[in-house]
Amino acid sequence: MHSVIRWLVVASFAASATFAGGVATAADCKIETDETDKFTKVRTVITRRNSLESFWGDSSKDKQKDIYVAAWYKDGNKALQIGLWFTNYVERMPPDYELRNTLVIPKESRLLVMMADGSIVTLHSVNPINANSRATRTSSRVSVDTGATIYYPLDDDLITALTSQGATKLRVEAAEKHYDFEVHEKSLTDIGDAIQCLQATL
Amino acid sequence: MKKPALLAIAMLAISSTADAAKCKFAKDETDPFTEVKTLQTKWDQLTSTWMADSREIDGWISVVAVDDYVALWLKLDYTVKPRSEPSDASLKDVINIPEGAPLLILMPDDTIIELPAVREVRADAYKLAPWDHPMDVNTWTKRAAANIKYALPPEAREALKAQDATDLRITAANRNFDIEIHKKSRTDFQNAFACMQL
Amino acid sequence: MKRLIALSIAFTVLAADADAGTASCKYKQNEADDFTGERLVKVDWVDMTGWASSTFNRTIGGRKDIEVAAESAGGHSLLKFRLKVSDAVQNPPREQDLYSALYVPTGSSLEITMADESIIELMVDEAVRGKSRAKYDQGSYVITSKFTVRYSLDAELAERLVNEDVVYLRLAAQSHKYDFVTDKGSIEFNINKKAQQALTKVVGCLNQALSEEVS
Repeated sequence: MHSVIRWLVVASFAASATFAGGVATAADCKIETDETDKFTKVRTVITRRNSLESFWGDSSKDKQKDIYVAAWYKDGNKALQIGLWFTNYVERMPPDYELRNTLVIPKESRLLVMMADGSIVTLHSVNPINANSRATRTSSRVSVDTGATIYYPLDDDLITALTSQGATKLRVEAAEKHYDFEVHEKSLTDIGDAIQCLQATL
Repeated sequence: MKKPALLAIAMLAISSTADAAKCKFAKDETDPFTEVKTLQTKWDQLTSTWMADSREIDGWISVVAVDDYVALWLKLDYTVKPRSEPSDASLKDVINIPEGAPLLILMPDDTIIELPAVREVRADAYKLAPWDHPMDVNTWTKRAAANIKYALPPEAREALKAQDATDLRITAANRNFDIEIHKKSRTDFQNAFACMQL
Repeated sequence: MKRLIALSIAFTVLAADADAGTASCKYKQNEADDFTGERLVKVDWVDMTGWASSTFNRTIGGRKDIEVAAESAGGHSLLKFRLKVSDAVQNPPREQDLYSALYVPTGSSLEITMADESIIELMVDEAVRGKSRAKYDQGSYVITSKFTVRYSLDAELAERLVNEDVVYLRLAAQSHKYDFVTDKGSIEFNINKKAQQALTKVVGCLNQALSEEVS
């Protein structure tokens, strides 16, 4: 009986230390994809994506935006997968030419992540984005949606920096402008958690 | 002792007769001028007919022999159901198979048979509005289809006869089209070769 | 006595209004950039067209509405105008007509005629294409084009705009076939009192913000 109790005490201590340290086991985290291509045998792992902004964020009735983060692995490469989504509501259907190349993010564009201590972690994108918008008529107006998924490779130094503390703001640099996002207080550790989840799964 | 052996032989004879009866040919003709014989098996669906409408990719195969030259025809059907109307630009070259692009056939022992596309194939998609499609009143339909011809040399045929293929990957210019072969269709290649007596 | 009180209240309000120029500055942004630390100021839009102009100018087409704002980032200041111009035509426009309805190319200028008849010139920050739409209205097609154009503003010109009166604006622009751009390639505005106040206010507010320390 005593040895059982001792075992239980030790086990619960270990568990609490684990939780205190954040996600540490593959069983704790949420994985969206963990597949091995039947033909190439290449394994792809993607954590479940999380929205970093609050539900309301910077939205108005005419404009909404959101940023999603997931950690991604394929064939030995790790990256932060950032999803951007913008919706504008307008009265009338825009002509086709206004929907072309509305989101342009060249390769090597920066992602600036402001950490809790005010330091900035800089990543560089690996895939160029030239996204068009899509306009859809709703019952009373037209919704113009633009989205893209950008990959920012991770190395050991970036992983250490991004998992050591929470992130408060993000800036996605694009061709002619940048997009700033405030990280919701409940999402401060989402980036670090996603990376740790990926590490635990691999 | 003899009776079971005789029964087995009889069963074999009956089954091979039955197989021959199952063989249906899409084409079986000899050109009256050149005397070139063309034999083509009927199209066999590789994917299940169940829930076919909700599947992105469907495939059928047919083996054709023109004299000694044997090729595999693959019919590819691509269907997606977007919520909003697909742009005209997105309909262009939905299926784009360059000449030489390989068809990869995965076997149970993880070996891969590669068959090159004999010629380039390009197909645009067409779109159907929800109100034009009685079965899909909530979504648009974007559909494209193409027939792709792959060379089927003797060594590839032998490899396909030796095991049941499990998966296909159709390599295209901008993407791959993957087909998981339905369990009941995994002997389709062997059946086609048997019908053609290859 | 009551009349005296009313008058003195009116004068107080007027006097307060005259001083209120920069006291009532509205900023969309007035802070240091989180990431770069550079000073960011965006003075909110102020209408230059005015109630009178909008109310009386009710004919279909031929309208010009203009708002002004100012901004600065990392020491580079800009004077911005947000315009809505329209024209009425008989025939429905093709897509290329809308595409080329309004364009301000790189190298375009804004010429501001001052009260002393001198002209100051500001250069456009980047090319702009108007967002143009057509609407059928009472027998004709009203083509409306909206755009925001930014001009580089240095400190010296900013001082003049705050301290001197402006009488005329000429924005260089192009339109393939619509009359909201003149044959000389410009969109022009007489500057009335309200427009003058708007211009003075935004530049004044920009200057005020830039002269202040931000914690």
